Amino acid sequence: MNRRNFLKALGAAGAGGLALMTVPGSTKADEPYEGPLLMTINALGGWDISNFCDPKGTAMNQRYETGDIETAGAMKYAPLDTNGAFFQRFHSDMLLINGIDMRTAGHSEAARHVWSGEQADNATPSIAALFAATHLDGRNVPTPYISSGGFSRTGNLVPLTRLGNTLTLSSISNHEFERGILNQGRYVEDFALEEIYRARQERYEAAKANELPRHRKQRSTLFAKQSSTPLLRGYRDYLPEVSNTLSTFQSQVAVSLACLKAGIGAAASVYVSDFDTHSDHETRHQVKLQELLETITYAVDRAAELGLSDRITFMITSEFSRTPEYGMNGGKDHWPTNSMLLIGPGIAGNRVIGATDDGLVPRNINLDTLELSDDGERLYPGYIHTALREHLGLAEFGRETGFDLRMRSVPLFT
Amino acid sequence: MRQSIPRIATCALAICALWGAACGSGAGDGDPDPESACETNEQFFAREVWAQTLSTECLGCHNPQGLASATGFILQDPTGFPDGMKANQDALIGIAERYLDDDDRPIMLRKPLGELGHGGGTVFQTDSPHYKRLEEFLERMSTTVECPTEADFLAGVEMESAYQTLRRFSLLFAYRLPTAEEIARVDDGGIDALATIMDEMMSEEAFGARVAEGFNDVLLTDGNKFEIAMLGTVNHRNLLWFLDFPQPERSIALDRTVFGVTHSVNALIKNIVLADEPFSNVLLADYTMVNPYSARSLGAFDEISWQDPEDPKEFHPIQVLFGDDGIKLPHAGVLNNYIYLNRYPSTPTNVNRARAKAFLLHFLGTDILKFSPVLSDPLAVIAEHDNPIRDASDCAVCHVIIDPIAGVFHNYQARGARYSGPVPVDSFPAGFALTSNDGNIPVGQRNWSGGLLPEEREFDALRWLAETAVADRRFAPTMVKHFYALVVGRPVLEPPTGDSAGQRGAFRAYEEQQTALREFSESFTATNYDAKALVKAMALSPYFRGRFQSESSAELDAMRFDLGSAQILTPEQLHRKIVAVFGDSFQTFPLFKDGLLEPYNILYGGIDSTQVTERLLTPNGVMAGVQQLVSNNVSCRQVSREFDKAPSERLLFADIERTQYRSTDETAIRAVLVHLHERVLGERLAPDDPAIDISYGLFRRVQERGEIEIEDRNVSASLGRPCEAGTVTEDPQFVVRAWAAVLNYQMQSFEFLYH
Repeated sequence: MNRRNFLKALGAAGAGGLALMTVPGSTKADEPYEGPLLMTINALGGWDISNFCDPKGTAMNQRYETGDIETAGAMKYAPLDTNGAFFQRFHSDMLLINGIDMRTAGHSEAARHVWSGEQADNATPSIAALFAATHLDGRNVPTPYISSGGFSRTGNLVPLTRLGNTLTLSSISNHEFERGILNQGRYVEDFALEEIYRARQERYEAAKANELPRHRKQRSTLFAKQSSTPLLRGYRDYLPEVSNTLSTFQSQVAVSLACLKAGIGAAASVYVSDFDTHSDHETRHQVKLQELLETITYAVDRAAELGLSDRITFMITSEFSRTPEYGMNGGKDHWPTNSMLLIGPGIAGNRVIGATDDGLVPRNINLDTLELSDDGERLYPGYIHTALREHLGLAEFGRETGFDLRMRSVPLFT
Repeated sequence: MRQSIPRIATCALAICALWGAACGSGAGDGDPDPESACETNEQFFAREVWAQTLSTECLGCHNPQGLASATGFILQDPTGFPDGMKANQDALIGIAERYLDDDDRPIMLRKPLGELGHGGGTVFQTDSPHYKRLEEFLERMSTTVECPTEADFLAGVEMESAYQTLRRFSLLFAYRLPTAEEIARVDDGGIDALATIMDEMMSEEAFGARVAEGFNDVLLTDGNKFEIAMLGTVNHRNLLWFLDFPQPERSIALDRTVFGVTHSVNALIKNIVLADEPFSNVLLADYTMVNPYSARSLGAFDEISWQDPEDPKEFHPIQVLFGDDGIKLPHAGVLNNYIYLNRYPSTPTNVNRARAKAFLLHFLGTDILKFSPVLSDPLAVIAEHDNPIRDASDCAVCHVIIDPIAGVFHNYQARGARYSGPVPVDSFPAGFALTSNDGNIPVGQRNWSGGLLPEEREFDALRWLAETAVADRRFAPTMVKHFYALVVGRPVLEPPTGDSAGQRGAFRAYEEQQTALREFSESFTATNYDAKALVKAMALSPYFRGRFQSESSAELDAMRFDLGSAQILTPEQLHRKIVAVFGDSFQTFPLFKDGLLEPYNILYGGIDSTQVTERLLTPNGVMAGVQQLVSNNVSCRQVSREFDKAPSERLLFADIERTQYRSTDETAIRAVLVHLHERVLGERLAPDDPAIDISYGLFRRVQERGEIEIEDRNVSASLGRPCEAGTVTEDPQFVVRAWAAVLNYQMQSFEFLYH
């Protein structure tokens, strides 16, 4: 039984049972993965869409008037900072979804809702984890799902990898690391390494069959992951030549994309933090939004440099937006409305779906035509995720593994 | 038949005898068919009624502090309350049996429909799955579901040897290998001797450090950025005592002062366990901990007799005085520790709510967010009410619990400093659940399920909160849950939520663990919160010691999945094991001294307590890469260092001369391998054991191939910088590197990397 069939069989037993089962995995490294890719970019803390992609101006935004709102193709944007450059550059490739009703203004619940499509607190994985599990289909690669932070629940479908900076990851990708620095000696010769691997295999095969199930599973998982490490060596070839000018967030992108390019993973989640501006909102948020736009721009450009543009989808959003009014100390609190940006193969750009009213409250849309309609319904993350799952080829695997969102789809991509 | 966990207070011998009796006694007497659709009422309740209806639709109000807490139908979050599932089932049955309408129908089936004056209005309709579940459950309760006899939970389960437990316990809690004398005692005295040695080890400093480290995984205070000025010079006139120092002394003093404050929670927990104080002092300790530097800031330096007044890691308890009048701070253990309050700060629009949420989660095992209903339209709720948090039931369901507790923190400012004068009125703005729109929370409404804050306890309100929390029945189970993760290495099981009968084994695992946790909890309380007794009982249980089973099936495997640690070592634990086994750490010369602590900690699944707060419990390819780097590094460096020492000083190769490396004496080589397997892996093997055969084959093949490669000039005879040590710089027969290959292989094994 292959992994997918195994998980399918487990689906009948319910997703909650996955944690208790031993999922068979390949115990040797597979070929590098060359299929579709996903990168999610998280504005961590709750971004202010009215200062960005759902502009309102007067009263809601201290730094611009309603009459100053600018447009790029079909998209309106707040006339602030680097927004103009961003929208002018990307609007033709980008799908903008406004007026998403998050139904919550709590960080953890909203993060779960927007990144998995499921509001209830259950094991439903992030879309990035589901993407990696679906497309890798049991392939034994070292970093199937990479997360730098934020919501990254895996539903026990794939192991999670947290990346450090480029230096630390480089060092494990090449056992000659110190030789590179010191030009003296080396830890271990290749032929000795091969013998070590052989002994490791012999020891694994000699393990007693009557071990308790947890021991068996952990031993198997360890051996599979150790067997995948030779693939790590290819990763360094795809790091940028100059990395010391990158921001922390751009470094996350650089490392993640290098792994994706090397075929050792299929999905990555990166973030730009500190959007939760309960005080001094305008000053602090301005900085964060610019960092976010720089990070998105770098991600798209770097993916193009690596030849990944026709394989990778970018999904950019946050937990929710911020209140229309300013609160104490010039801050803005949480507001359960949201927006999302999507860029990638098969996604027609220069389109805006959904909207909010003057008070930043989501407007209803017709879920069949996606036109604004008072007789329509609110646009929830579950609708978007259901459509995304179909578009990205995740729907069937989601159902098989017990993580069906049980929501209708909307024609975002048709 | 369920095996009962012994009381902690009973002697170690009794503990071990009871667990031992369950082990190796043959196969279970049942052989259930995993395909069977049979499901007990308890399983149906947990899987269907609880997981899919009560927890999502009812718990929010029907909890001990909720809006419906006075109704008599009270549910518990079973993840923080052992046997909570059974209590919830009993609560539902009780309501169904006791309260009937005029037609003798249980009101339980009518209230959620919005009938009979249900305070929560209409929750669901008769055609909803929720209603059908409740109906089916009631029907089931009138009949007895007989399932095939279930297998004995522990029949045929075999524990690891007493020696293995000694070694693992020693590495985990004493940060060292057991001594030869301790091993001999266990060899002679078995489990009884082991239990005694555990007691001795738990008096060592490392044990306190480990408990503190484990609790930091929960409290997340260590490593928090702390600005010392936040404590306020009004309260502590000498706070910035180093300001006039020249550089770099000023920066050093500042760093060490901050270290003293940020590590004070860890130091407190360490002190509690090493001083054999009741662990309830985590909330009740009437002191805080300072190092020589933070002691100066808090004006307490002269009160303490320091062993080394320059050592930032030397901590002592003090009672803090604040303000010009030297008022004694009413300590409440962790609760009003400055760094704890700082880690969970207050904000202008969420005054003290993060602290109240943390308090409930950390000390009473209650995740307030689980009470939160899924709102259909929060913006409509906001628009409908002037103060929705107070007036809208969807909001009040949580805020009615959390806001009064937040009010109890009212003496403390946003970043942890105590108000030195009267507490500002606006510290409780409009928007709190129980405030009027323009005023304060009255004293009588700063409360929680433990009662109302008495007016005379205004000054030491947090101490009152701590006292009532310790008396709460959730406190002990919550501490037990934290200790379980600390000992076994992973969280307790969540209630299974699978939607088919295939989850019988998983449910049984959960049920058995709940029973164990309840008994741990009862013993913990009965021993006045003796942390050492609790750790020992857990370490002697099958959850720590389970190793083999005599038969296997899908259901047996699911049922026993949580037996035995089999947990990957954290970066800190792996670092300590390497130091204990090899006498030195993983060092990526010349960059990092203790590489697993920095910079590889996060990459290896560790936490930084701020941005990364959950450990990775399953290895990934990058972690496997780190393992390989560590093994390469340590093995190559340590073999040379060993051979550079006199044989009597060696840890690994005491019985072999460097000049003997060309020996073809297989017996001698196997003897060394036997020693290495015991020291590195804890395996006590005969020279002809198959595992020794593998190591011997590896050694021989690498050495012979290496010698040829040197002769062919493909490989240098010199070791080179990373691997040479002292006089050991040349390796013309490739023997040093062959031994390194053996260590390298051993360090990548499950037995080395897991506990």
